[in-house]
Amino acid sequence: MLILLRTQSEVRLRTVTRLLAAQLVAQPKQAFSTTTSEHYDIIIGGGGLVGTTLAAAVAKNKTLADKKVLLLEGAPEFKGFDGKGPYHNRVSAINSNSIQLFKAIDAWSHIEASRYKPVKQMQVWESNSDALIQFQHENFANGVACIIENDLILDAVYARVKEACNVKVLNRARIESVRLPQDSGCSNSEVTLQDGRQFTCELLVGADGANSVVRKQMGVDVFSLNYERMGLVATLELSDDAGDNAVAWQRFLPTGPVALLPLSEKESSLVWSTTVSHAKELQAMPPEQFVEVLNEAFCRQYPRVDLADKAVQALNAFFGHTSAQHHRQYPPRVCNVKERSRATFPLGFLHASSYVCRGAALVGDAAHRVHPLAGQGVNLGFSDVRYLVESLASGAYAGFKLGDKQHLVKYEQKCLTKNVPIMIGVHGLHTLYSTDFSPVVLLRSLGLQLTQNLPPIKNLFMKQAMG
Amino acid sequence: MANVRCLQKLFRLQKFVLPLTAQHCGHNAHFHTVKPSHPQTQSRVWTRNYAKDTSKSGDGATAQTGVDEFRSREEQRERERDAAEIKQQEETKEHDTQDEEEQTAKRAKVDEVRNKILDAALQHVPQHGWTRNAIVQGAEECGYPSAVHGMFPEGGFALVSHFNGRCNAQLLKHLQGETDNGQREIENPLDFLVQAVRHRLEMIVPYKQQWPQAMALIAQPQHASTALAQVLTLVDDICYYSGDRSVDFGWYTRRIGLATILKMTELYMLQDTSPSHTNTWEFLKNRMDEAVQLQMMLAQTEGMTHTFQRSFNSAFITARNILGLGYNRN
Repeated sequence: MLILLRTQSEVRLRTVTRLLAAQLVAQPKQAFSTTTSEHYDIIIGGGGLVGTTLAAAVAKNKTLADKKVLLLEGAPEFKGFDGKGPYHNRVSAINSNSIQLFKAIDAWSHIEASRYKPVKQMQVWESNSDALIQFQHENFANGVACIIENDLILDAVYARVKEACNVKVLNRARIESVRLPQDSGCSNSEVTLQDGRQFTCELLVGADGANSVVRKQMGVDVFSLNYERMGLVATLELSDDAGDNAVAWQRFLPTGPVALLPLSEKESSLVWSTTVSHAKELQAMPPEQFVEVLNEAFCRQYPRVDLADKAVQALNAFFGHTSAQHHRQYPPRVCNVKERSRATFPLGFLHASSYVCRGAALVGDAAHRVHPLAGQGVNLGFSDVRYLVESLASGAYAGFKLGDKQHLVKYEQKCLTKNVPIMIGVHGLHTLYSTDFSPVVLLRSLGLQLTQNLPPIKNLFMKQAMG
Repeated sequence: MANVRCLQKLFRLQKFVLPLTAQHCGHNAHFHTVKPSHPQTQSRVWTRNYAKDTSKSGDGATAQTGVDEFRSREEQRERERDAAEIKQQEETKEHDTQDEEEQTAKRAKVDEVRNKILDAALQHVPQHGWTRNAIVQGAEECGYPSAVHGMFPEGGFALVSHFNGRCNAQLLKHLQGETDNGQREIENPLDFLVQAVRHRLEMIVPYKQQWPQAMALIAQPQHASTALAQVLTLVDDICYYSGDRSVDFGWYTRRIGLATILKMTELYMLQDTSPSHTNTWEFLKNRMDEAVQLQMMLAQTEGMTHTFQRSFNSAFITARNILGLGYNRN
């Protein structure tokens, strides 16, 4: 009797659930997923610094630990990093927020075990006046930033990704086309690779750099400027007067800033942003001539604006600082440049007004691209990663689908609020320092000297830029 | 439009109803002679009758043949009435056109008299200034009584605007002659503009002593609209004959720029004491050159305006996203 009753109720329950399911699932334009397209929860397009860190962070997060993640990288497999070999020429200045992120995903120990250089002080000055600013913490207690080679960061996060069981990495997988829910009407995003493979996912993350395919498909409003400048990178050997080489130097020349970032006691990395023709010239020069030109660039006297000098002196006197207290120091002499370490890359500005849409999100250079003069580019990307993982975790915990707009919009709000002021600041600095028109020189010299002399303002900038 | 149609329906209904009431009340279609230029009275008549008619419609329906007869009778009456109405309309139209012609003839005569008086008054301006007195003197010269100055309620300004209008017409004829009515190609439009402005300002020279008073009159707010219209048509004519056929914002900027230069040179000329106003013409040339430079600089920033537009658009969308107001987007 009871068994009969139970089966009856079971049948009724089953029919009821079937009806309910039919109603819920009824979507007119649902594309039937073929057997050849695999379904993932998150697909990350682009396995660079930011994309791979995102994959590692998602794998590490407890709430998202059961989500299937696919990382698509167009280049062949990452060759690994040799900690004993010569220094690479692509380095980044990583600020403390990003270091916190690495610590959270257990990648920092890998980096620490290899090599990195904490910077204790940064000195920034220019060519048309005496204004100078030095960033440091009280008594040099903490480092202002860390200079880490890009390949080392990649090695560390790839190691974490390989360990994670829910992340799959596909190399030589360039994205050909993307279909988002807003175009196709179904609830999943579709990715088609160049070799024809298809994948579907709930959330597609575009981490594929400034020429992002995902961003183009999302159709967001993009504001971009070509700076008509190129950045030249190189690895340099310093002469013996470097001391412990814990200072980063940056001088604003009329063509753009030239920066020396320390790598070790004897070696530094160069980032020189200058006009396209000059950059190509520098790249082609013989090494001795290049070293000479570089040393001269830091010391050379340019036509000064007297009014700005006087104003800076007056400001210093007003604040009671004598000239000895903030005496300008000169960077160590460079004696050699490593062969085949000189490379150039174009510089530009890009800002996507929206980072998300239903089923897709942008992180890193795909969403924002800045001038390297403030060392912010990849740090903004890492902060994007942090916010995205937070938003996804809280959304998944609340029961939302990963591609749902609600928590993605929250991610976008937090990110934009943090990134846009920094981007405007960096662009403003670039514009301010790319002219020698006297009123502008006066303005920027006063501004710089004021920031140097007023600790609250200086601390504000340091907090924003260096975490 | 819907209201007119309703009104027409109402008219038709009244026409339909009227003969019954006319018979009933013995009005005997007197309304035909009433002028149809007062439709309100007509409708009043009809509404009155309509009110009376409701008593009649209470009678029982007659046999079918009675209705047909009735209908044919009504249609006949309607046709007659329509024909009569058309004839009425034609008569009133004739009346109207006659009236209009009379009025235009009257106005032409008045204008003729005005112009004659003002032309005569201009000769008295050096003595009396741009005042009513000058007008009175001119009127008396033409043989009209002095009280005729009442025809010019604006007083001295009427004289000034008449003078301006005359000079503008003269300049226009000159420009048309120079450019074969706008057909000839102008090699140096800048120089052409300078010459045109110079020609126009030289017409003021005979009245230079009293011109400050005229400018003061022009500047008064109650005369501002006429004065502005005159200046702008003048400037428009000059620009048109200098070969400007632009259809973009440059149309406005060029004319306003030229008007500014014209007024500035006029003011300068008032205090210029050099022989045959050579300083004034140099001043004019310098202002023209400055205007050209300004325009070139503005054209350079044309490329930047596109970037500005894009940045405003981008800033707007970013601000909307930061504030969380983009809730109804994809």
